[in-house]
Amino acid sequence: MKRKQWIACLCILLCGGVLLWFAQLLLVPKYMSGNREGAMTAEYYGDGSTHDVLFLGDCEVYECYTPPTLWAEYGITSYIRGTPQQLVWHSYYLLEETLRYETPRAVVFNVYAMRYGEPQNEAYNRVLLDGMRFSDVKLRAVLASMTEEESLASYLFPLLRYHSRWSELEAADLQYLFHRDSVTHNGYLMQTAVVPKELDIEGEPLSDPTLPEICFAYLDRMRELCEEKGIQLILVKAPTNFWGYYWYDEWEEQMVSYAGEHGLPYYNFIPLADEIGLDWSTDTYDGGAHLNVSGAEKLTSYFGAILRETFGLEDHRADAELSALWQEKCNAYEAEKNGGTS
Amino acid sequence: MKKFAALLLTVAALMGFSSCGEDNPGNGEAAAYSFSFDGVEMRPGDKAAPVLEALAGHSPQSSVKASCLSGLSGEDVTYVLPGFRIQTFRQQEGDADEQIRLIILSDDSVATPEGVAIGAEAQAVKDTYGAPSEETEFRLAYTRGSMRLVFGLREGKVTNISYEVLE
Amino acid sequence: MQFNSIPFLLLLTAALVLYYCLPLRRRWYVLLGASYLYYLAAGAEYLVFILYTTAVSYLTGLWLGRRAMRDATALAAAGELPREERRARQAKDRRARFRILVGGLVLGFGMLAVLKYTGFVLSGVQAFVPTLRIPELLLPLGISFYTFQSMGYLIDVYRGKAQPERNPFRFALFVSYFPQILQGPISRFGDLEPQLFGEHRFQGERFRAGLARVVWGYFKKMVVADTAMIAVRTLVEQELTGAYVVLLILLYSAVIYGDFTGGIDITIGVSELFGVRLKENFDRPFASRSVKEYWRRWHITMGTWFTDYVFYPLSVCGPMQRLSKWSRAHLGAALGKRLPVYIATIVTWFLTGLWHGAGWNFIVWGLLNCLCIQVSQELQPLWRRWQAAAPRLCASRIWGCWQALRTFLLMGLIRSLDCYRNVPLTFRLWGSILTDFNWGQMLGDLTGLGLTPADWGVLAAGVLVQFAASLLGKREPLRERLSRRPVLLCACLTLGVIVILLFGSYGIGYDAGDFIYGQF
Repeated sequence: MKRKQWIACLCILLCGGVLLWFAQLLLVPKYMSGNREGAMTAEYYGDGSTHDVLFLGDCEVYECYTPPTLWAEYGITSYIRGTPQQLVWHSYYLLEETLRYETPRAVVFNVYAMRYGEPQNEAYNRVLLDGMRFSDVKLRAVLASMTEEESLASYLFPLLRYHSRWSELEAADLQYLFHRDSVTHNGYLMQTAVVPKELDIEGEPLSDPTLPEICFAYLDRMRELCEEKGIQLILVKAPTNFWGYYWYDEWEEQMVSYAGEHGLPYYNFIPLADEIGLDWSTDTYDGGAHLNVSGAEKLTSYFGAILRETFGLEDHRADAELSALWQEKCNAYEAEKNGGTS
Repeated sequence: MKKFAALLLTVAALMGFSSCGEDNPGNGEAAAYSFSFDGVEMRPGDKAAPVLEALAGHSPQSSVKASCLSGLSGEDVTYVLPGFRIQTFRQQEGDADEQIRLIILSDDSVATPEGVAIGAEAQAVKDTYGAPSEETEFRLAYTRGSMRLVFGLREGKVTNISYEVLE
Repeated sequence: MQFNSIPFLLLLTAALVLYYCLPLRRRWYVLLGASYLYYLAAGAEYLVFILYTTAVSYLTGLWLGRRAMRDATALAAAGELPREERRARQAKDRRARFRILVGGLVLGFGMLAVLKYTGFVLSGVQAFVPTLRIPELLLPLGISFYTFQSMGYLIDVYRGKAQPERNPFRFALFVSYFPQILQGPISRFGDLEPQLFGEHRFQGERFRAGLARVVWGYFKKMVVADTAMIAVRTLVEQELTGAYVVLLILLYSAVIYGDFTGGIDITIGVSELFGVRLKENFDRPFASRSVKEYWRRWHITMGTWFTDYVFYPLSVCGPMQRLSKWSRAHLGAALGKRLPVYIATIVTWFLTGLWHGAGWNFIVWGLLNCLCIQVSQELQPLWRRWQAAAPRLCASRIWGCWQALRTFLLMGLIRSLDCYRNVPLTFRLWGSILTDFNWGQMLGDLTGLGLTPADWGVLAAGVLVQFAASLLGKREPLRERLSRRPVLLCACLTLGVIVILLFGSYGIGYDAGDFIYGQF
């Protein structure tokens, strides 16, 4: 082939690459409506500020703690890097990645995920991993998380997964081609509906009460990483104890034992629901499985006192820059709360 | 050369045996375990609607567990009845294919059709149902086809009984 | 390791780089290594079977070769012999070599028969002995293809058409050559040997033609065949009747064409990347005007294999010749002449059906093809009279189109046995075309078959593109023309890859990925 032909071919290949890149941008789900949870992971990168507290975990974290309340009442800055059914290894890799951007004073990990020792569902993997920026941490997270039907290539090139969306494109796919709106308040996904808890029943019988080894292995890695960075790791269990997301006594024993063995603080808020002031007729949006904004504010208020008194986290409300930043966040938070959308 | 041919034939025969996998179970398997309440028989895997309709007189209370991801279809539902509860899976409310996934006996006011209730000794379970498919310190499980009858144990006594669909 | 998978593409890339880095004489080592790696990826437990077939055919081939040499030497050493005695010795030697051949064939085909047909045979016995347990046997990847290829080699060595291969590694490559192990073409040793072991220098034009063929194959398979398969599955699972059966015939024709010819395009294209030229396996089969012609254009290497190794030997063997004599004497010259041919044809098609699968639907499929050919043969005088009566019409394009359409629909109808896998059900559904032709309902229900309107659009466009390419490539395949124009080829390949990535049916949610003939 002559030189001119080589150059022409290279140009064609480059154009092809650009077209495919554009197609990928167009076809990946934007998560601006419907599954808003899918936008949560990537939203962290747009925040830019540092935080005293990092929350990790599943919906028991991103629907139960409200960073604006923590700021408004205690001047403590926080971010929730939560995703639906976030598994322990997900939390570990998110922590490792977050520490490349900032070093919080405390990491709060909700222990419900300790029950899952295997990848559960492609969808839960996708909503977390697709939002992560490409890095070696993401690669390791993908390899640790993939279900059998998934492929690494589809995470490196999401077009391979979402190519069939070409027949389902909406206006939002074009509108959010290069940017996304915020769907959370520093990781808190607001729920304003009220659906009282009517049934108080136990979960289904456990076939094996032992929490998986792999979960403890990743929890160890989280603990060691926090120790290395001088971060206080705090284990928590949200106050919800719904039959479908039941926290069994056998699991509680194992977590208490682990926390005791490693000198970690562990707060199980289930028996403290009354002390926190939770009212299951008004503070849940789904019959007791998760808290709505009213319940989340009560829990945050209670937990904030612990963070202040036990862990000595500072009040930054005197910091003008932070104050201005957080005032904006609180305004947006109040606006959504009063607007009543969920 | 005849010996060589004989050797090859032997190897071929061995190859044939080496390629055997598990036997097909074939026909003639025992029927699945079922639970019965007030004359209504039910099994994991059955359609829920006829069972719930037949038990409507007992005013079952229900509770829905939606998926963590708002866009994922499908929800688990639990129906609480006197002494037991039925857990189902459906795509949405009114789904005609709502399927029973789990039946849990929650107290000793009800018993299995074979007469075992919560509080029974583990040995009584084995005497009634024979050797279990699975036995650990915490449970005795009897598998039949695509379902399993499980007796949860604590200190040698039955603390819960459930009929489950095998995934 | 499917052709449409990242690991395969990685293996192919690595093999190509290594291949062209090595000296010319050593390049076939890469092909051997890649072939066994490819096979290992399918499952280490399958390796023992291909090694077995390789060993049996290699050793039997050597034995045949040595025996032939020994017999020839002995005969030469015997000096001048009377003709009768010479003939008798030659016949005796031939019979001895034949016994060796039969031994090798029994061992080779025996393994295939045991693994592939035990379940089928025992399921028939189970009808009488219900307590009989049918063991589940492994079915190694490509066993039908590599067994037939190896056994063809043995027969060629026996006939003196091929010299036995002495190098076991070269022979192992012949048996296991990875691009063709999944679905052919079934190659002859004499054709494949110079290709595999010849010294191939890199040729830009051939490489480009190979690339074009590979991308074209992926397009046919992933955009057309796998998309159509979604609807075919729904039609089969729900056993939809009437016009739906006609729809299935049309769709499954698109599936089998895209899947099989697409797979062969990938096979031949990948081989061309290495400079290895394989025989064509398809020649615009849907342009055939008769069933006989169809089988000269569809799965050509399988057809010639059965013709050369089953039909002809059977037609001229001793018992058949005796039958021919008897039937001429007792049934008349006309029938007497036909009977042996028809018996050989029936046996050949019976075996062809059986080769496709261990099931009555495949056997009936084979026999129906046989019936069509033989009926067509018998009606030849009638066709000739018709041609004489309407010569202009018969020479016209319209008549040619009608013949092609008729053949296409007939072959599609018979092929539906492969979909339904149940002979009585298939016949019942064929009947419903006449009794329940609900085409209005079918047209209104297209989106209920698992494909959105957009998917139907892609499918229709894909079929049109294939049709156009076939028409344009009548004299010379488009890829050959494009290979001489690198820039245009690059543009077409880039566009092809984009189309495949965007519109192909692959990934999670699409489980139509396996090549249909891979199960054979």
